[in-house]
Amino acid sequence: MNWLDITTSYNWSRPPVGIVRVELEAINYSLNHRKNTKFCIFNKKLNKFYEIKKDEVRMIVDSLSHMQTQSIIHNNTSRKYHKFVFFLRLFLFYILRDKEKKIEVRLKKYKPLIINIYINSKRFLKSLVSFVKLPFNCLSKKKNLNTEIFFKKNDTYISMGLDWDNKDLKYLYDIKKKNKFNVKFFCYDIIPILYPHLCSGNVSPIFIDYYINLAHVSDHVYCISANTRKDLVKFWRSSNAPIKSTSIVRLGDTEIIHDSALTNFQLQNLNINHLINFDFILLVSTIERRKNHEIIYRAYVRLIDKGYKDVLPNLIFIGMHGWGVNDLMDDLKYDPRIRDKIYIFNNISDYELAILYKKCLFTVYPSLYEGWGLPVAESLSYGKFCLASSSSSVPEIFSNKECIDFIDPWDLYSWEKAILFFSTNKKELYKKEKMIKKHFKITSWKTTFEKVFK
Amino acid sequence: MAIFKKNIDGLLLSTFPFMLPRHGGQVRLKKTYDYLNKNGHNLKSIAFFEQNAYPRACIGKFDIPMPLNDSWQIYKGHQQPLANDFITGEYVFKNKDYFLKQVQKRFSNIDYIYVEHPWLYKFANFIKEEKFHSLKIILGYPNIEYKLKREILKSFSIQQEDLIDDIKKIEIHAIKNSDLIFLVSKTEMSFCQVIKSPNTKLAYSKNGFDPLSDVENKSYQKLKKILPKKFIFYFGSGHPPNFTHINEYLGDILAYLPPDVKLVIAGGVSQHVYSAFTKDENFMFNQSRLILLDEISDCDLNTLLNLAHIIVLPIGYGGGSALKTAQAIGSKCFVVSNNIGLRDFEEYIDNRKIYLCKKNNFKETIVKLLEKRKSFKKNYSELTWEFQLKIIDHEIRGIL
Repeated sequence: MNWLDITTSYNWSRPPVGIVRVELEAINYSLNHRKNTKFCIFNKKLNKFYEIKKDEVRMIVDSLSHMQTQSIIHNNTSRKYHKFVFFLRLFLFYILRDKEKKIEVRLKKYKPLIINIYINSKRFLKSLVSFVKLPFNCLSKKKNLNTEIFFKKNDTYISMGLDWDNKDLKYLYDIKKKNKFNVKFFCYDIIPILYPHLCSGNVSPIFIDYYINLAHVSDHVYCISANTRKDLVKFWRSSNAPIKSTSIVRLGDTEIIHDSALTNFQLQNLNINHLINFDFILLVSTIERRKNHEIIYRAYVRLIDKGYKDVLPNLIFIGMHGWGVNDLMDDLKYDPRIRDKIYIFNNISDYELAILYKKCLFTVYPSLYEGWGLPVAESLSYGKFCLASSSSSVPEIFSNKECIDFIDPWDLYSWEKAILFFSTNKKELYKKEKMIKKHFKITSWKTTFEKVFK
Repeated sequence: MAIFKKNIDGLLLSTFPFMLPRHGGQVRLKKTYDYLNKNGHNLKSIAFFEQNAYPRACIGKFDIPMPLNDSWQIYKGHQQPLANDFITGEYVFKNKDYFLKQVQKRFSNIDYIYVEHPWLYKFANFIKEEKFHSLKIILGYPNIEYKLKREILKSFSIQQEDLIDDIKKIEIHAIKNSDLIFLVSKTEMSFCQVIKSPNTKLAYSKNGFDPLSDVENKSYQKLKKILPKKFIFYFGSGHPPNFTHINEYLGDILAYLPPDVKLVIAGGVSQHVYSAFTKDENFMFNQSRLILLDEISDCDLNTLLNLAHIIVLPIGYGGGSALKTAQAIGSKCFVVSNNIGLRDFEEYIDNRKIYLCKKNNFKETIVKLLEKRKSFKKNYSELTWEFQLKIIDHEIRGIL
């Protein structure tokens, strides 16, 4: 009997990203292809595992998928704000005339507040409803939670969530020792241990604790890249932890949204709608130190200083403002040289992202270190050439040099050279895209999980 | 068969009090003091000790504190760190007339002076020359002092060869002129054999252990709440070298210990071990594998020596034979030690209960032994205090 731990999805209350999305895909796969897989969650307060019935699992999947859709609505909030300001301006223009400017400045000042009030009032209403429903929910949840699980000898427990937050590996170790079942975990990366300075806050001790206990409790660890496996085993060896069996599973690629699905879709972000009419390079990633947006900014600035501004396409960053990049964000905001060249967008829906991938010239991904490098695979899935970092796991995504170029993430000169070359050689890009179409095969989540749930 | 004198008056001189023993040296002295007094000796002790460094209960009736200010700690014009024992001896000898009066006030007859370590040897000799001409001087010599002091200073990155030379002179003088020397290990034996005068007798009496008694229920119930089923045990006083090399043998991170096994530390060494394992980003993990008990009662120590799975002895340096080594051998646990931890107990290495390891296989041996079941029958009676202290009594009576 396979038991898939879905604690992360069960507790998740935002649109699913990264690891949550992987777990969600595993749930979908299990529901559709592995009928004998059962689902469980771990209650940290009670230190117990409980079975979650398939009906409830389906509800969780639906609710998380719904949140994904909801996030698009959230993204529209900013647009609604602009509409609101537009009509208010009209109103003020006629009513107040000369005072209109002053009020608009004030409104601008309070823009985040207005958006927050809008979002939070919705959240508040939701919470109120949940609060009223609470006693009924508790009753129904209690009913579901009644089935505490005692894993048996031939059972296999599989977990791929945010386990450093949600699990008690000591407890799992104890019950595993007693009941002798199999335990399989996922390792996405050990970056917080290797490069704590590239992570937010000092999380290194938490991950050291987690990955060593993982070595003791697991029978097998699936690593999402050969590089991650190498890092994990090296860490275990250097810390004298037991070295457990590991294997590599390639994560499934993002399901591409085909043109047919996009025909009726209208970009609501007017800026994006405008920008896609021109050539642009795309960088999809949270803006944080590890992702190394700075090297692309510098390459752009140097090219502009050398007089290439007119031949350079626009550069679009898609990603939220992460940590450790305040100075870079200031540079991007105040550097007059790139003001009409580099654009940043956040909270983009899958449809909008699909359009951006389809319309871009090529993508760049200069990350300093990765566990995998999803945006590179995503770019290739959309048939787009990527100038990618040569670091860590990124070259594993697709090593065919006819389709993808790798550059040392610290090598500014090479980035500068390559960006200029591909920006001005569309024939080369076309050749690359042709090769991608010919050679790059999308990995389905089914292929990924067949290996895990065998 | 020798005919021994029945009532013997002895004076025990030391540079530390020992009535409430904490470190190995104190334990040995207390055991010796108690045993001899129980067996026909009228042994009194004077410890010249640093004020405020010991609990009141540790101080004996005739013990003499050093001045409260630090004037006595000045040696050759400056403060001398980590050499209080040596400096105490020098200070006492410098004020020998005053201290002789103190001795005379307390003792009307002395048959022998037992000087623990050579620090107070010059003063003992002065007492002999000035007052009690027929007394015998017995030297307790557990370490080659100059070598040990050099190691201690080195571990604190202090190099002071003039001090080491002075210590060496003192101990060679003491070895040459003592009537009887008690040694705890072969290393000191060979050192003394070369230096000693023909009349000096050398006797060998190791540190011992008290046979384990049954676990007291009260202690067991108390410790059961905090101890896991399986644990590794290390105990010692908070003095170097008990903690100086801990990471070299046990590693910076206790990752080789499964989640249900802990490293339990008792004694003054606890805080030092805690520091050694919490100095870097591994602190969180190490804390999950550590249990610090600090000072514990003899009764609790007995419980731990009964229940532990493995006792580790990752001792950095040192001479003599460690008291905790004898206790570890007499325990009901596996013993994993380096060569220094097992110095002079080499004949007990059997790779069944007692394992000698190097830095590179110390942790590996621990991991292997965690899987093994404890089952030992040998009782090592020759290593008990009773056995070892009988030698001391016998040898003292032999020279009088």
